[in-house]
Amino acid sequence: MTLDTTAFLVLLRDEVGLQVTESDLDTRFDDLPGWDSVLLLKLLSAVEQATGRQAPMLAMLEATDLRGVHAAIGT
Amino acid sequence: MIEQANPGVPTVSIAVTGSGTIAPLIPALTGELARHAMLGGVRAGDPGAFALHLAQPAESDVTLCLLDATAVFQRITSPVWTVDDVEEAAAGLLDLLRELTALHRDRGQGALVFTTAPLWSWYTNQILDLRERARLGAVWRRFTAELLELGTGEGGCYVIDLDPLLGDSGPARDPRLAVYARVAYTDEVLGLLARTVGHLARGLRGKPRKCLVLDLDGTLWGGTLAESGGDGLEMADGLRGEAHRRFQRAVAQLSSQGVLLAICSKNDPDEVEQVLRTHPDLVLSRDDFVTVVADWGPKADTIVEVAERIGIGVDSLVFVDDSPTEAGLVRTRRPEIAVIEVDAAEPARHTDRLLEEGWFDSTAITAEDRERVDRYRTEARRSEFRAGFTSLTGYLAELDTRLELFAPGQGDVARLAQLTQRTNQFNLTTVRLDTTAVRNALSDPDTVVAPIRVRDRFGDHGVVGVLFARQDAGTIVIDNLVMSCRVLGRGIESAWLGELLRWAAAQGASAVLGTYRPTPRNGRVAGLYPEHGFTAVDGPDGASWFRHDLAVLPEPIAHLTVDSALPGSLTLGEPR
Repeated sequence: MTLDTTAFLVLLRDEVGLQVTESDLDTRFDDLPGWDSVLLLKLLSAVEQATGRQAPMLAMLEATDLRGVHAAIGT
Repeated sequence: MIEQANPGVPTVSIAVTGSGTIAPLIPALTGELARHAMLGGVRAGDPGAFALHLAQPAESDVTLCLLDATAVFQRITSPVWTVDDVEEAAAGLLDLLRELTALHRDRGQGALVFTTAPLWSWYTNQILDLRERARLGAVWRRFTAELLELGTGEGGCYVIDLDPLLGDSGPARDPRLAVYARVAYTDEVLGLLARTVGHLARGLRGKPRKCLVLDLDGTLWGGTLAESGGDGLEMADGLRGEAHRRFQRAVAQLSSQGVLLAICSKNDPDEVEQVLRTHPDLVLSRDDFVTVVADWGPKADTIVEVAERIGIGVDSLVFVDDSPTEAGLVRTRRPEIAVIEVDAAEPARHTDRLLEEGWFDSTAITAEDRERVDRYRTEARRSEFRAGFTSLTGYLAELDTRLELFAPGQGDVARLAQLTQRTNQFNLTTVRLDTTAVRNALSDPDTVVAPIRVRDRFGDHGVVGVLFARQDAGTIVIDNLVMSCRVLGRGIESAWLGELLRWAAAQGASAVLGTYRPTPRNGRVAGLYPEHGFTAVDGPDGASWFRHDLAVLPEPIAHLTVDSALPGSLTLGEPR
């Protein structure tokens, strides 16, 4: 399965515990309240469980905002 | 503060450091503390900086150092390596860890906990000569064995062996996590580690359980006694029988280390007694159980009788049952009881279920623990004996109780620490001491540590209490007094305090002072000092302080024989 934007936001809220809306997707991680790199690891395992396949971790780590992470998962 | 809003809830602080990224472990540890109803903060140090972190004096109750194989391999500076390089690097790391352990013992507080560092295939597979690869394994195991040895001595250092946990987890590592994020272990391994650390914290906070209460049908044995009779029960042969036999052996193993066994079963008591006494396949015999309650009442009620008969708190019980109804009712109506639910359809899992929560794990099992089973059985005999007397005085005289105040040595340290940690009811100030703190008290020339050993005509109770006092400006101040509840009701505390008062007077002290700090469970000792000739005085810290001016000393107690080895001469400071 693929993750559309709504499903991605639900995953962020329910599995990672990050209260974000679509407008936060373009906020750089440096400016995103509550963000730290551990959350990306949680997001990684949540994405792998939701999609049933390996997530491209390196691409996810190189992203600078959540939109970039979402794009990495989609590729 | 959270602590003030939750009086009586144990608190424990954990500081985490390690050779890699430790952040993913933090939420798992926080969750485990909450599961065990402990408050406290989990703090993470800088990733990778364990040596710097551990070189500072520890201030937390638990300092956890999460090691992984990179701790060894990072010490190899050349880009390629041989097994000899690994051996040298491992030896260097061990030296460092030994130094840090010694530093902690001398300057730190609380427990220092290391994990082992399992060797992954991405290292072993880089050695192509299969004999050398085997040697790498041998070198690594020697390193691991010596690391584990650090946790076998005194001094508050513990080592958690990760190898057994790996058998219970899925993949233990993810190369992407390891390379990109320096996270050495998967969440599953970290979850199991957090659980183990939670058990350790529970052990340090004096919360281990004392008694395993077992259901019979579907739990201790396969089948239903009331339906099939003793002959139809499965506990030896066949798939089901072998599984239950294995479970019984594990239960016997716990019992051999001081865990009390009891039965709480919905069955006919005579039938149960008959099976326990005569069934040839039982690994455990009737005498292995301190008490057997077979009754048709709801177990949420009958299990309380188990605790009453043995004379321990309900919160010391761990209850195993295969009935979701009974387990659920006990869990809801007696939340202080630890409940293990097993599945009668899959008895092969019983042993794992019994052991996985580590309810009986202890930071140190003492000789008293191992003999506890005998002593509680003796307590049951004493109860029968008591029933034969009309006069309590006659009973006490006939018991011929002997109380010995002895000078403690290094061999008593673990037991004395344990008494301060496990005793909740007869505990005047609830100051919990670890082994390091007890050792410090023993070596302090101004402090008197006066433990007691009790014997009577039925047997030896062992070391059942300890009093910590210090001399201060011509007075003796009792910092804490704790006593096991199993020797209550025969005046031991009176004889003990009396001996201390007479001793203080003989030393030329002007008074003996003591304090009582109430907790939810120590109400029974609120009146201890007033009952023994102390008068209430204003304390400096708002606590209840009591003073005995030593003008009128108590008489010895008639039915008790006291031997005292309190120090003959103590240098008292000048009176204020």
